[in-house]
Amino acid sequence: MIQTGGQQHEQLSSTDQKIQEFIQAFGSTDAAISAIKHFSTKPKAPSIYANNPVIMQVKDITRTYKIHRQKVEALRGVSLEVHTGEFVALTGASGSGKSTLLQLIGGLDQPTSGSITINGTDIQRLRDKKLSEFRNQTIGFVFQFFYLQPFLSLRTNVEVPGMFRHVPRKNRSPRAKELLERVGLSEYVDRLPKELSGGQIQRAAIARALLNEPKILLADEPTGNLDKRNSEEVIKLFQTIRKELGTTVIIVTHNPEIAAQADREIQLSDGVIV
Amino acid sequence: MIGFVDALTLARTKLRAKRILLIITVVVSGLLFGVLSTALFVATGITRSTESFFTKALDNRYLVEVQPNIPDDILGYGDGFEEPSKEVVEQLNSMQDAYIAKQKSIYDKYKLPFDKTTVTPILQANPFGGKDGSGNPIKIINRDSPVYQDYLKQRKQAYIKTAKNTVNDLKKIAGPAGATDYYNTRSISLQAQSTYLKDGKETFKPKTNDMSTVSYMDYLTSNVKDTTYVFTDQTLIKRFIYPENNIRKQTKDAIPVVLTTQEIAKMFATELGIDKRPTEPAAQVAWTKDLQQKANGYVYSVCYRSAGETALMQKTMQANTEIAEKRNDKNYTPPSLQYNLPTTPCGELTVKKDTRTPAEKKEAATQESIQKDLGTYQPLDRRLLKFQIVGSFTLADVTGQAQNATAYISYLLGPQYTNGSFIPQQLYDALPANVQNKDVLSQTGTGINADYELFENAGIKNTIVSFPTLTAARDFIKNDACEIYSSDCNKPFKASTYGSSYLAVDEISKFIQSIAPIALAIAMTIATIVIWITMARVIIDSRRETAVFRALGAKRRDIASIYLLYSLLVASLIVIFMLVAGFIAASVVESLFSPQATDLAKVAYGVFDDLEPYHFIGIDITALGILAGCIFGISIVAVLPPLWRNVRRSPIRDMRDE
Ligand SMILES: Nc1ncnc2c1ncn2[C@@H]1O[C@H](COP(=O)(O)OP(=O)(O)OP(=O)(O)O)[C@@H](O)[C@H]1O
Ligand SMILES: [Mg+2]
Repeated sequence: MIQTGGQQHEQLSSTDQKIQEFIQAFGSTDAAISAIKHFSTKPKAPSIYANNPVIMQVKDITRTYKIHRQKVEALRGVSLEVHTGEFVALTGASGSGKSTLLQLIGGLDQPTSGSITINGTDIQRLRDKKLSEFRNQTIGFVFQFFYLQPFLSLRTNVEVPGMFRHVPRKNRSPRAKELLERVGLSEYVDRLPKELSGGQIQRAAIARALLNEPKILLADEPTGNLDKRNSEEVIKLFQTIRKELGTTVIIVTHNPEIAAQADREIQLSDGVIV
Repeated sequence: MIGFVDALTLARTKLRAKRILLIITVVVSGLLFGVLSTALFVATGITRSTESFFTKALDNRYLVEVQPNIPDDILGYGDGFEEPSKEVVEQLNSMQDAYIAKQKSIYDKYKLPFDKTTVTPILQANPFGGKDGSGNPIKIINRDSPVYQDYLKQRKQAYIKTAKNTVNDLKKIAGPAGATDYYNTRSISLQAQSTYLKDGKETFKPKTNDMSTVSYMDYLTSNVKDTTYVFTDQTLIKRFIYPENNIRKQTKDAIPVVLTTQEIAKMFATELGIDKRPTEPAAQVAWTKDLQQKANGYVYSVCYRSAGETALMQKTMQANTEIAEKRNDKNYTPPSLQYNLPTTPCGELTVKKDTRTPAEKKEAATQESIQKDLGTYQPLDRRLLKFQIVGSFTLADVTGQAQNATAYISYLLGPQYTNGSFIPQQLYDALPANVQNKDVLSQTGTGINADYELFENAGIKNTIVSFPTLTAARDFIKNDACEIYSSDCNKPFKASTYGSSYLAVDEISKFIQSIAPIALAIAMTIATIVIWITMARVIIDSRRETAVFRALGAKRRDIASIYLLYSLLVASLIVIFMLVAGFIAASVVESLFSPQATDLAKVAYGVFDDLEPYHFIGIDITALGILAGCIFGISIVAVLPPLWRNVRRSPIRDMRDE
């Protein structure tokens, strides 16, 4: 992730000397970027989903990490609301707290302060068992590095969330197959991940995230490891899912083109939304 | 909660991680436990085979030799160098006085002067010195005195009156312990007075009685020469007795005997045409069969001469050598009475020359009369005894037990007796009186055997007790009696296994029971460490995977069950490895030793071909189960600490590092 950020920076510095001067005029990169955003991005037409009920409410959360007696404030008071079926892009510089926010939303971590209400439940109140069930059934996770089980077939990989839910095999196995077909992998159902390309693996991982019909899909840089063509396919897939299943999608991305395809872009900078 | 099959599916994928480490773990732990399981397989095999062998060989009867526990001082063992008490001294002195008075009266009868000082004193100064309070030397009992023998006899008679170790007492104890039968045995020894007639001829050599160079095995195989036999109930030695053949049917004048194959080979190899005993067990089977064939019915003879005649013979031999040596010595006067050695086997000594004066003759006659009156006269007597071999057995070589596996097995299985020859009582009893030679064959030895009749008539005697099961025999020996050689026995009887070491199985299992926990502990400790290292490594390496599972909805318990199952899978591999390695090793032992051991077993109690093979491999499900259980146990123990640490981690931390 940090590497990706660095590359971007290189690209930036090699483009145009004038841009450098422009940034200097604003005093800092962040200030320049927000200024550009302010003037150049015309506000999108409010999406049809904006009228849907709020599925997720994040209220004033902070998250402070302690490493070597040093405090790192990853989030410094973030509030936001997401509506059912919305497609939200989380953007921001490396280290701005995107992953942290996503993990808090996904119930993998607890905020230092503030509250997160998803689907009517305050997830901080949940203990391991309920929280695991929440992650299992309400959230679908997609990762940058896919994280499929290398020695299990795609179908079994997709079945894993069903295993943790104790769904009988005879129910989840056809569903896994169906999902794999849906993401265009009907020929690879019984193959091992190593026989597939990155894009195919990520689509399988998305199928896995969908197994338990989650309300919210959380994807941390799902295209970070993919080439352009595959990235586009994956994003298209998210769009389709959102459209057909009404799943709320929140993705973290560094790619402005992808962010542009979202209903809404939420930008983080230094732990706050800008 | 994740289902078992699913947890297994996920756990199984972990077997592919850290392959080398896993293989090392399985091999090291598997070998450690493999050694244990080999020992277990082999021990089980030996135990089972030995037990079933004994069941068959001993005809389902487990014999126990029971000795009445008679205190040493009653038998006279204790009257060594310690100072006798005042009362004892008084008693001995008055007995000595009576003895002297009797002697004097006999001498008076023949009007001969009697010199009191020629009588053996009853008390003598301790040869090792020592003074009493008033400065006189400490006096101890002179055990050579005839009065002491009388004194001992009196003591024995007094003991017998109150003894609680008669056969009837034994039955009261052994009966409730399950004993079914009681048998007498009685040993005889004519050692000093018998000569084996090789080829029927008698040779005359001065008798030597040097035991110092004789090994235990020599001692057990010199019964023919020494005429040492144990009268034993025929049913107890049934296995040893050959089927009757024509020679035996026709022989009417011989005493049936059962000898060791070792002694038959030693004594009669040329006569019977027997080869040297081979060392190979398989060859021993053939050799034993051949020997049994050839020895069946073989008759040998022994000349018995009374103590008086034996003495006269020794004297004659000495005189003859002296006369021959001093033939040309003018100053030498040869004895006035000279004898010829017998010219026929076991014949009489004849007078060669008698130049005694009438006075000398009269003196000799008087001496004889005095001896007769004193009861010390030794008459001249001889008997030609014929013995017939009717059976044999191969005595376990107790001296070779530690040499090698084969020697140990033959020691384990072979007959074990403290003697090497038998006279089957029933066959003997059926003989005509003139063949029985009861007067000669009732002479007994020393110790408990001296005054044997005194004890026997009171029912205090060695008895062989038969038990129907090994357990009953063992429990009787352990609980109701002392060990044969125990010196501080306070029970009425001493007991040991009779005829075989059937309790050796007990010894083996006792030995195993004593070292098994240590070996198991060592194996478990090492294996626990090895498994723990592997588990910890695998779990640390799987942190990201764990984090992903957590993100996908795995509860802590799900993660725990996956890793527990993983450790059980590893344990299963170790168990499989252990069983395979153990079985292979035990099979090697089996193939190396089983045929030999089977042959040794066949030879042990006479050759019997209806014997099950002797196995070195046996499966004890319970013990193997315990071993496997230990492996599963330590695997769980080894996985718990790293697992505990792992499930307590926050799931997201591990997803960051890539
Ligand atoms: N587990 C953690 N322990 C300590 N510090 C952390 C931890 N996770 C995140 N941080 C810190 O919190 C800040 C925000 O990190 P986060 O991963 O949320 O950023 P990001 O926006 O996802 O960055 P990138 O684009 O590089 O993925 C960073 O300074 C990071 O070093
Ligand atoms: Mg990130």
